[in-house]
Amino acid sequence: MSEIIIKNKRKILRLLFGTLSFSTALFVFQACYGTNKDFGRDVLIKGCVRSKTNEKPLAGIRVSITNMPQYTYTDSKGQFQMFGSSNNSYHLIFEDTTAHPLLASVDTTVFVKKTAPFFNIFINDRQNIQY
Amino acid sequence: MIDKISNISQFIHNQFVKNETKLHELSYLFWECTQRCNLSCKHCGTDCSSNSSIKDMPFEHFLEAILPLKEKYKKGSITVVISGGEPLLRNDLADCGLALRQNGFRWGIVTNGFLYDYEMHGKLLAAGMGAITVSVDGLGESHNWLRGNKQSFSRAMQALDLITNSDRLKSDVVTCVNAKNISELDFLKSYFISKKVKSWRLFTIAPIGRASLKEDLQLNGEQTRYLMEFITQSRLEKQIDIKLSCEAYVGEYEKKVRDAHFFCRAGINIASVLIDGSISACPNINRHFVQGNIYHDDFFDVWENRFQVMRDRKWTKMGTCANCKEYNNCNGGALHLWNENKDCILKCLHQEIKSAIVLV
Repeated sequence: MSEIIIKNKRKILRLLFGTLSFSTALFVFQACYGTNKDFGRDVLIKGCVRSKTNEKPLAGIRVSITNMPQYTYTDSKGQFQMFGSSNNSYHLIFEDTTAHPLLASVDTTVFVKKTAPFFNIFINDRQNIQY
Repeated sequence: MIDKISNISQFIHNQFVKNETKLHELSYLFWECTQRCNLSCKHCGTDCSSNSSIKDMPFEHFLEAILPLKEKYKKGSITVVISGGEPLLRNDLADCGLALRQNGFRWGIVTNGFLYDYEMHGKLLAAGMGAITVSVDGLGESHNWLRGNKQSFSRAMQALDLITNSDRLKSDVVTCVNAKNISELDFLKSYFISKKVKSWRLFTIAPIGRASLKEDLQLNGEQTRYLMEFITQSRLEKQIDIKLSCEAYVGEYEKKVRDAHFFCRAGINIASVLIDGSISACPNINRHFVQGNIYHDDFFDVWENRFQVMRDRKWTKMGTCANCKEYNNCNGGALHLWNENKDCILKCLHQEIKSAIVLV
């Protein structure tokens, strides 16, 4: 118990000394051979991609965000997760990027508040698409 | 009056250091994930190589060792800095990063940028990478010479173009200043400004690792003073966020060349897991300072109960430091500049700057 009190006291002292020295750099430091510390905001987008025909999970589907470099691929369970730069909405693209794609591409806009919900995406076989 | 304020500021900072040492909250964790490297830099601090016989550490071993930290620290308060060798040589880098984020850690990499293309950029951002440092050690020719590869500068610039255009990434360029590239600093500055580099950090070449054999690359007192003046002036111009890394106490230039006073946080806020599982602080610190090993010690227990050599640095008051009037502001400098004998600091920037005054 006393250990926690001492620790809290030291945390207050940290704030005090940091404030008095007029240097926020005391709190946000960087090792001499390391990167900056990361406090940035991003959003975890996750979901599952299935076949519209038989609802089976689809592996190896490329998931990307329009106008952002981020991309990933679905795993053997058809699931994907990736971080997107902090935004209110994302335009996601789902593509079969194999040499002879059997699946149609799908794109959808998803809206995100603080955290993104789990998205279920269904993709049609190319042969089922009627133009 | 300015001197008085500066002294008060330094006094408060010294109290901050003492308090921080007693708290020793871990917030910065290096993972030396590989010793393989695709370049052969003349100044490499870790002496890595393309055909390193040491195998990469399996990510599961690292994760298992640090997982208990999840219960001890606030989510997102620890940044894992993945270093090497060259971390981009690991095919599973994005998977490692994503798993770190899923477990509440932030992460970033230190890279030479050679393999950082658009695909890599997208993959690592998707895996939640939030920070990146690219090493650039001169304009084209001198960078390539130091890095031992004719394409290394152009590839690093390609990486910078991608990185500087990302709002998500906290990024900077780091330059190892040495006798060969010091005359290029002005050109480099203009170049980085044109490239929209967010932040530029400079450090001086240290006589450790492979660089210990390159005496001709070490800076002399006048060159060190020139570097301090260059950073001071550039900071006043405010065209680019430029600073000296936290590598040494620099006396009269403290707070002129960086945002805060010198504070070596090795073993106080910074730990590392090295390629063989060793637990230490910054990876460039002499391996004789190792405090344990994840393969037979509990990482958190080591962090909490060992590291005394880094938290109580009275032992550094010897050699050059023994009679230094500014020892209390410096505490023996940065730990990576102490060798296994622990008998004298390998290089003291403060002394070098002072010696240059005498010459003037």
